[in-house]
Amino acid sequence: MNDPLHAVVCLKATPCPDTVAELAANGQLRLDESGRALRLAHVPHGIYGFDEQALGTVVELARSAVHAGGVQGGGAWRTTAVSVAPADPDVVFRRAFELGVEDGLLVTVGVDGSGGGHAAGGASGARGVAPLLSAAVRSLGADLVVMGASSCDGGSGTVGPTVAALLGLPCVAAARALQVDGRRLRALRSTGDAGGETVEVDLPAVVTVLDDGWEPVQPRAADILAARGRTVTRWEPTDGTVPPAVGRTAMTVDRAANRGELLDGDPAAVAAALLDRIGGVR
Amino acid sequence: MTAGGPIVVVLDGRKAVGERGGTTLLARAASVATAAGVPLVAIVLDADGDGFDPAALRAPGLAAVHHIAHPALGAGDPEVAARACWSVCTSATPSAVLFDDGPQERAAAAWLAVRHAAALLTGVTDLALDGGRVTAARRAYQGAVTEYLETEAPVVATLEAVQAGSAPIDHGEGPAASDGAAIGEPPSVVASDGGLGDFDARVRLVEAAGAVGDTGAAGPSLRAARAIVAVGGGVQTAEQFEHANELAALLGAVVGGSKAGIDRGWITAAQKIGLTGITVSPDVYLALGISGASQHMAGCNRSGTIVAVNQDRRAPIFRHAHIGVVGDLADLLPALVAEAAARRAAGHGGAEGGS
Repeated sequence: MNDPLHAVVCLKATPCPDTVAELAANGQLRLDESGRALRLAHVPHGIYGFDEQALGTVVELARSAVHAGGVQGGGAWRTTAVSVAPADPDVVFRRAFELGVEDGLLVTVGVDGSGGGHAAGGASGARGVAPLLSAAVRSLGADLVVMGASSCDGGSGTVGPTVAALLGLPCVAAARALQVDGRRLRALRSTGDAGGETVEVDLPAVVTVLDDGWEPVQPRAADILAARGRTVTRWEPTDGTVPPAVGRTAMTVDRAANRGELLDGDPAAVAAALLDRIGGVR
Repeated sequence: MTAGGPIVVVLDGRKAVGERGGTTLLARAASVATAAGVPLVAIVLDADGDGFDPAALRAPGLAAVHHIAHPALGAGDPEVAARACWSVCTSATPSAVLFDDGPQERAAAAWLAVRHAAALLTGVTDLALDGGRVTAARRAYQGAVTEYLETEAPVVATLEAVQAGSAPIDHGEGPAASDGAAIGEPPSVVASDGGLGDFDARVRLVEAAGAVGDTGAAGPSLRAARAIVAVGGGVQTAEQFEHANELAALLGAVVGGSKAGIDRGWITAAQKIGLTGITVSPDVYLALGISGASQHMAGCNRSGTIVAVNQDRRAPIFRHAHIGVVGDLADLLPALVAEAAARRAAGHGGAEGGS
């Protein structure tokens, strides 16, 4: 019998995107004193967007593996959630455990924010996180690494491919659906305006996921009960790649506001007025 | 890669270079290179080597075109694309390598940046090089803010599609003719396999349109569209959707939509516009029954004219729209179809040809 497949899901706690959008729509998004970051301490943080989908994907695949038994090669999977120094680790790992993830690895970067023993630890954003995640994944010996295609905040969309490159693993980016058969993964991935295409890769591999068309995974009573006994391992990398520095010099808020003309009245008159205004389109 | 070297732009041979996306990228790269006072070099990645004439590529300052053809490029493996690009970078020593902005392009850019210790910038809306200093702007928080970044060359970047009109495209003569700058001498063309030799892609293409799940149908070329009719959850009946299609046909528009439009079954995931779908910048974006969630607006808010039709006057999309109509689609859509059809029949074009 083969060893159980070890799936690692990388999670990032971000400000609630709906709250941020509401603040933006109401003109209430504010910069902090530095002028280079948003003031978001009052916004709830959690696992949202693609990261939520990444977590659900790993949970679904692991549940399917249990149901499929020998078909999956190793039967039940081993699952681990990894997160780099979230402000509130409990938010991240409680959610993962309640959905059935077995282990948690909290990557620490030094209590003083200096980056601990890792040269990239003090870096922020995707450029700092990817080396830390890749070091963590390497220490875990993962077969499958899943993460969101981009985060709800920075949204660089590069952490997954960068982790893959640092680990020398193949990368399937922007997957909409996954199947795992033994040690082979098949994915439908987005190619932008070309639509989708199905690709295949042998594990180990890194996959980033989108949230199109997937149903949210529901927690099961047994997993919620088991979550109380789960523990998070703290882990601090001591070496790794230092990416070139990219500094944020400023940030501006897109002050969305009604900027347009409102057409009103009889539908026929509105239709004529509208076509007058957008005329010239070929 | 070094500071002061040329700008290298990477064009995907799988997407027709003559279409809007490729030429927009080439024109923008030419603008960056011209402003920086450095030459421009193009790489065309081509799986089969057919159907594209690299000598026909034109842009101001374009000194050379590297036409890299290799079967492994057909799988769309970002590692393969990065390896092929590096074969050029080792000799061209660019100050910047620019990709189009899409999920696969971001992945290839990340590979290239890691392998060769370059700074990585994605979703860039504005980029400038001044000697070895690189400044860039990009959107974050799903389009709610713009962040301004600074780093040192060399840099690998993906350029987000720009608002229609800022990089006009000439479909017949290529990008150089459209921006009025000097075209110069035809570029030299170098054909190679990008040093890939017998390298096999580790990510293997199984099927061009997906078979895993049910969202694989290839969508129309939304990014190339001059006009888009986008449908959302407010399009509630098959009759309304049919009217939306008729209107799109009369306007010469392509149909896309929001996640709610997928949920209602009007469009496929391949037609989804937004953060999780396609980023578009048509001249006209007609949003029918779309609320304007930030995830959707992140994909369309660089359109030339955004028209919003929604029953809910508090819908967020009205904050982004240039023209808003608060009304019932059941009444307005038939009126729009009738008016557009009448204008076409009258021969003065309306939305079709300008009035």
